[in-house]
Amino acid sequence: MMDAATMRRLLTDRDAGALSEDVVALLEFHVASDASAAVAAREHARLMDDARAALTARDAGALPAFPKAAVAAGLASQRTPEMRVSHHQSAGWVRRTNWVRGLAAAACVMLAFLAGRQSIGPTPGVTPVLTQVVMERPSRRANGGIWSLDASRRAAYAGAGASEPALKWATPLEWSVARRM
Amino acid sequence: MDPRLDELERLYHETGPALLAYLIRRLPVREDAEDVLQATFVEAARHVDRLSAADSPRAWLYAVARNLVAARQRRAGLVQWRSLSGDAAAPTSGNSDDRLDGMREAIGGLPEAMRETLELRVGQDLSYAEIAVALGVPIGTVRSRLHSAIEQLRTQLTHSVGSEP
Repeated sequence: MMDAATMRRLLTDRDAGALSEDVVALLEFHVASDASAAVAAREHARLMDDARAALTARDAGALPAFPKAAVAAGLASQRTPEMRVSHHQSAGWVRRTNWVRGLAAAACVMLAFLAGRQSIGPTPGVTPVLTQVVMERPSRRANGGIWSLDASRRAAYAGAGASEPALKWATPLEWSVARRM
Repeated sequence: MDPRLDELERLYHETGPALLAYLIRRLPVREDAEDVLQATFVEAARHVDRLSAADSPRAWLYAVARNLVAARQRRAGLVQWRSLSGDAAAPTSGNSDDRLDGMREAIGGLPEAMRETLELRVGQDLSYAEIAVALGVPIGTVRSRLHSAIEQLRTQLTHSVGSEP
């Protein structure tokens, strides 16, 4: 038993010629042998007839003249097969001579390189003298900056005589000096 | 004389009336529909190799016409289908007229994708494959849209008949 919705879909497909002959034969047999299917098929056919009448009722009226000149211009603007063949042939010729173009490009690059080297290279017979200039930045410590050794010493000796340092340096270096003294 | 020009002219007279009816439905002004019809054939001339390679030249023309309509509507900021109820050529016999009015109203209430599919299938008699080319969608989509449209029409018309006093 086929449900009504499936049957309507099959009827629509049949009207569109989208069903095989076997399926059409089975569908028609079903409609002929089942009373309710026959009623549903008639309703569907009437619905489709009404839809067709509603959609085709409008008369489109007279067809405007065929735009011959514009269509001819459109045809003329299209590339002809002969043009395409000749283009294809020229493209093949260009492909075959690609190596010549590559070679020419490489030669140009080489010439440019040689010319550049010639223009910026040393003059023959003259030995270039290389001079290195080292710029030294003066150190803050050597200059007597606030954290420099001199500044610390000056601060330490400020209150006493130069012979009696108020500050004893207890570094490993001074230990060895003290031992020697 | 270019034989392709004759072939295009033959195609114009063969396909033109139905295509013009479809375009009149899509565009509110008849002159616009006529312009698009002519532009469709000029476009076909520019791409005549594609037209001749198409499985269905008619479907290819519908696709071109549809694209031109969409471009025109984008430019005008307008997406509008002509009302079906305004058809002057509708039959005027009493009962049948009421039924057709209900049908036009029901079709007008369908979503655009379904309405367009229904129009191309029922109004223009295109096959599923041709509709698929014209709309640029798979055949399965065409089939499901059409079935959904028919079911919606049936439901709506059944309810409207049932609700009448």
